[in-house]
Amino acid sequence: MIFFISDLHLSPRSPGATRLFLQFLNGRARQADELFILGDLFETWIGDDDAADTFNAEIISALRAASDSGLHISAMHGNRDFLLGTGFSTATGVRLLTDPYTLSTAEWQFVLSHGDALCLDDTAYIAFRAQVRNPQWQATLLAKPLAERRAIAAHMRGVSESSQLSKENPYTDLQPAATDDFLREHGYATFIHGHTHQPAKHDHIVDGIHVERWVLADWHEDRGECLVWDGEALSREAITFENRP
Amino acid sequence: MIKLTTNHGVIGIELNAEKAPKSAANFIAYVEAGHYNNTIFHRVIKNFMVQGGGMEPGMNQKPCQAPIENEAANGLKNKRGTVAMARTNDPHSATAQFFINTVDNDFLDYKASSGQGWGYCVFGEVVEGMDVVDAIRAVKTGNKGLHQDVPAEDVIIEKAEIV
Repeated sequence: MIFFISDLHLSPRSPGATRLFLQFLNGRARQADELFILGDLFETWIGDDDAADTFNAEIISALRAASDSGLHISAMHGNRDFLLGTGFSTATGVRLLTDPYTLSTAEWQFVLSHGDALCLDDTAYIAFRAQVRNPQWQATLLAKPLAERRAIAAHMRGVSESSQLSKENPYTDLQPAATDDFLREHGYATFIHGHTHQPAKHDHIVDGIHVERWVLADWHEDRGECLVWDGEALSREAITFENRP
Repeated sequence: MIKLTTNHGVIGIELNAEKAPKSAANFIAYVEAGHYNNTIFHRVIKNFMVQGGGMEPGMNQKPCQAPIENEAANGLKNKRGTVAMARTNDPHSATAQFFINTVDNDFLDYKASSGQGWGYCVFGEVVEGMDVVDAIRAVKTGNKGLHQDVPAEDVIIEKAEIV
């Protein structure tokens, strides 16, 4: 089985989602062969040298324990945790993927992405993205002391939140034409992404070919969600604290 | 036998310690600790099951002990009147909450030791007071906070004891 999750936005401000993720990582996730985290595992990440932070340390050690148990974990950068680097990867055993990533299994072909790069109608964000994904810009930022980076991150989050509040829908959707081009470029593979916080399954017809696009759900304080590939089909599974039959 | 005294009457449960040793021992430990006293059946779905043992009146979750191994592969089936452990998505996450099947629920049975196939572990059976269970399954339910299928009036386990 392969699990896909994204947009957990873990931070000390979301103790519920964090607990859900730790429970998931120690339990349900261990049933899978592979876990893909398609961006924004963390609400902020100011550099791998911040691993001593107690919150980060707890997540890192849980990821390490899951990796050591035999679960293959891969992660992609989101628009929040774009500074995750090799230090994080070494500490956790989590493989960092370039976005987009083509996943070929014996049964099916997928293309994975966070999804933000296709939100071309949000020109302000695309410009911001180009800046923060620039290696030079990242190196300059990472050279600053942790305290200063923390202040910059807090400021950036404030700007982002106030701009989201002013919009009717805080998350711009993927641009349809660009998405069709993307699907064409990736061989009409089933597309899985997050970012928009609008979980759904979309059917695209590109060049007469039916292509599925699955949008992952963001996590909340009392509920997370995981997309499960069992070798035959994709299905959504709720991650909750609740006991059920 | 375990005797559950509820505000709808008495339910007698025979545990199957032979087929489900860990689940039975776990249940007995919670009974002996007094955990189930003043808990409610907080999830009642008439033609499915009645679930309880984890919440106090007011839908406050009680603290639990460590989760137990899922013994659902023991061959016992989720037939009407059987008692099984509730759990989260993690197959091995049962703690205190249990449920009584009110109909045959074959789809809850063990199929494979992977993913959704684990099923739910039956570890006992109602041997007395199935009419009480039928009275409970028929109560009026609704939403309470984030929870669905919550009885409008509390169905309380006043006391759980070994007899």
